[in-house]
Amino acid sequence: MFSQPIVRKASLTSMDLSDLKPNDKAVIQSISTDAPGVERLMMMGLVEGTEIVFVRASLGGDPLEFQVYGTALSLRKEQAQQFKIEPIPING
Amino acid sequence: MASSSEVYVSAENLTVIRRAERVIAVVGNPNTGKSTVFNRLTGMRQKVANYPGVTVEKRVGRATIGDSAFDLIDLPGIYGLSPYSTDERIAVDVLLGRILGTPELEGILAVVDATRLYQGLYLVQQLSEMGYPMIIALTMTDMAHLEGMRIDIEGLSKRLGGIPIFPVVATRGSGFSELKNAISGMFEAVPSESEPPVFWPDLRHAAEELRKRIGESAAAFQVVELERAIIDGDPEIVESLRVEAGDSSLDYLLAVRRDLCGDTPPLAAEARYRYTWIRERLSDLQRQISPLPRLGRAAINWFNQPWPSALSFIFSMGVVFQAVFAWAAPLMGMIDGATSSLGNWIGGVLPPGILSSFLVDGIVAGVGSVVIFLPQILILFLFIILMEDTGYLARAAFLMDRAMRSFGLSGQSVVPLLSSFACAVPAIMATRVIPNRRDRIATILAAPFMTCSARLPVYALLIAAFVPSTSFGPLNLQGLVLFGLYLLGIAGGVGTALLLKRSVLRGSNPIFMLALPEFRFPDLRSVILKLFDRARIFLRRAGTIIFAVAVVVWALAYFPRSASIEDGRIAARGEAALSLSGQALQVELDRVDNEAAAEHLAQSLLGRAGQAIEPVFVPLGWDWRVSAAVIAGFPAREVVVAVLGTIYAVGGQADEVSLAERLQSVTWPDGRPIYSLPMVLGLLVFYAWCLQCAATLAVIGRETNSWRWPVIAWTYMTILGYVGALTIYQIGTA
Ligand SMILES: Nc1nc2c(ncn2[C@@H]2O[C@H](COP(=O)(O)OP(=O)(O)O)[C@@H](O)[C@H]2O)c(=O)[nH]1
Repeated sequence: MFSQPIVRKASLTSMDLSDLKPNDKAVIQSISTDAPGVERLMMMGLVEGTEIVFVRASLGGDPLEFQVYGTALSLRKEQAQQFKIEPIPING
Repeated sequence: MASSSEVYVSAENLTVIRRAERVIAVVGNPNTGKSTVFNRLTGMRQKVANYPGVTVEKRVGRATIGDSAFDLIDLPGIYGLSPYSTDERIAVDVLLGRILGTPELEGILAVVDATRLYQGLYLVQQLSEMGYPMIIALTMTDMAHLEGMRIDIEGLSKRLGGIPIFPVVATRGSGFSELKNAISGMFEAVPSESEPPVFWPDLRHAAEELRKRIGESAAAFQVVELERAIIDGDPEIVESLRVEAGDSSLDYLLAVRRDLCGDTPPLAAEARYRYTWIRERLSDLQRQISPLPRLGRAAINWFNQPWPSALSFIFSMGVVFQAVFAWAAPLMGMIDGATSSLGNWIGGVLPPGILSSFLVDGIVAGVGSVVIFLPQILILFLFIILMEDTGYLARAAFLMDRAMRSFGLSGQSVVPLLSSFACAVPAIMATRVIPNRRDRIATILAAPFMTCSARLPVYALLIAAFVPSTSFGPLNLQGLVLFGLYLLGIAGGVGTALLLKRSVLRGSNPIFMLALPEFRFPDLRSVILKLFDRARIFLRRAGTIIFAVAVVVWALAYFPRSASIEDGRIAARGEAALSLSGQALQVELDRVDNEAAAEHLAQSLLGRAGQAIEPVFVPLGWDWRVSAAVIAGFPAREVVVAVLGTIYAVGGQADEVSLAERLQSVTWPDGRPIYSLPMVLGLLVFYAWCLQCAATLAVIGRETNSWRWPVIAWTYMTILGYVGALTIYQIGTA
């Protein structure tokens, strides 16, 4: 039967969601599941392997707007930092 | 789980089947069009009540399809079965059949937004595992089409183990005849044929393992309850497990959970599993072609940039205020006019006396003081609902989150707080959009500080009468004082929020997560329904209390009635009629009446209360008359102007100029003016900070669902106002 997905090791770059530039795409690589509020975000689809687009930052650089599975989500910076990512090259 | 509710009545060879209506829950993520589907299926036949003990609304409606009827419950939006707010908890509790007075569910109508398919299917997986008969209404198919999204619906239904899926456009009603047919046929399938699919078998096995280890006493628990206990550690289920099956059952629970999830938090494990399942099994059913060109999209995208967004926010709040003042003021004037002409008419028909006074000053004035709020509430709510339904409210929260965080609040507080500059009542009702309870209460307690429109008559009277209109260059002192009062209100509110968030409501908001809905044109029908709802809630819950308080204040001002004052008045009127005529007679009669009214008030319970409490207010420079007027203004601060008119014998409906002149001339026994500048400034500060509004108190009570918060708010704000007035008067007269 289908088993737990394999969680890949965090990549060497160790970028997180707050390091992206507007319109950058990335794939979530690893998550600090113990940080507060993270489980809630995972429930909305922010799990390993999910593709996510950084849309823009609000006034003053925080919170941040992302696009995940068709939903625009607003995350505060400290939450975004709990998600390590692998950027997807623009043309790829 | 679904129990049959059919009653067979057999009469000879004829069998009449009479069934109680089947109960179907409408469940989905927030903002998927759930309420629109619900409204369309039930029409206007809805009942709105509250779930016991909370302010979450319970919306039940009857859908008649062919010749069968179904009872639909519109549940608050959820992302999954692990609740994070009161609304979400209620939805989950109803699904688990744990709410008293809510009928047991028999089926589920899942509402899934086609543009946000994955999040919808996450919930669908969990709902399916609960075992109810279920169908899916796939909404927003028009939007998905525009976005270039193509979904293989048949394929999707097959991979979901045969759950039927019906594409609809809820706003236009297309696809609803198929949906209705499916609902009416929902319970006809043979149970064994429609065994609902299980998507995470490992969890099911874990729950069954747990049940086996616990043994007999586990029979009391549904398998989904055990599953939720394993994933969320739901305190209610865990506690009843402990009671029913002993402490050892908790050890089993932990062991089973460890086997399933290892060291990962169970909810994270669940999200990983289910989303990976969706991504890997269903991604080929969703095709993305290039979206249709749409003029609006680029414009909306541009407007969502921070600066355009900030400018449009300022602009739209400006429009809201303009509308509240420009549209509500004339309506309020009309209501005011109507109440006083009704009062005058009754006063003319009935002989003067207790009945007339009770009807005019008690009942009519009391009803008037409730209805007068409606224009503002309706107009403000019209805008708030429009902002909510277009998705703008979430955008405003996103925009202002950073700024509001410096006050210990979050972006979601910004619209309620701004609304309270018009009226705190709808503002407090609008705090329901704030999911975090601590943030919500801090916002509710900050809102009444903002300078609402009811404070303006009091400010206007006192400033015009007592603040000299000297100018400093382009600045006018009267304008400066008014501006200062606005700032005082803001400072009071912000300070209160900060204080609360640093003390009793401490704790950051770890799950500030905001879904930012796409811009949508609002659906007129649901806007109107929601508007009616707000008005009804206000009239029923707050209205009764405001009315009762108004009647009590009338009684305090009326009783005890002194016969000698009345005899004196009649004698004086008779004398005047003998010696005067025409215009002069009318003036004299009014003077006599006003004098008598002032004397009556002086010896009424209210007047006596003012005299009794005078020592408390003397340090603020207030005599008993001011004190009595402030007490009478408790239900509604703007009443204080009319009471001052009566007390100083210029008549309750005197214009502000003659009242102001009269106020300037009243003195203490030693000849000092009572209304000195320090006293007036203090009185203004008192009105900036105190909570003289029964409507606000009633609404705080309703929205926090406790009498404690209104008592705390009133006491706190009254003390603050008192200390403010005291400080200013003492410094000013030192
Ligand atoms: N284009 C489109 N808009 C819809 C559809 N269903 C609902 N809406 C709109 O989506 C918004 C949210 O709908 P509502 O029923 O309040 O969602 P709820 O939060 O799930 O109850 C409203 O502005 C609706 O008018 C649909 O099928 N297509």
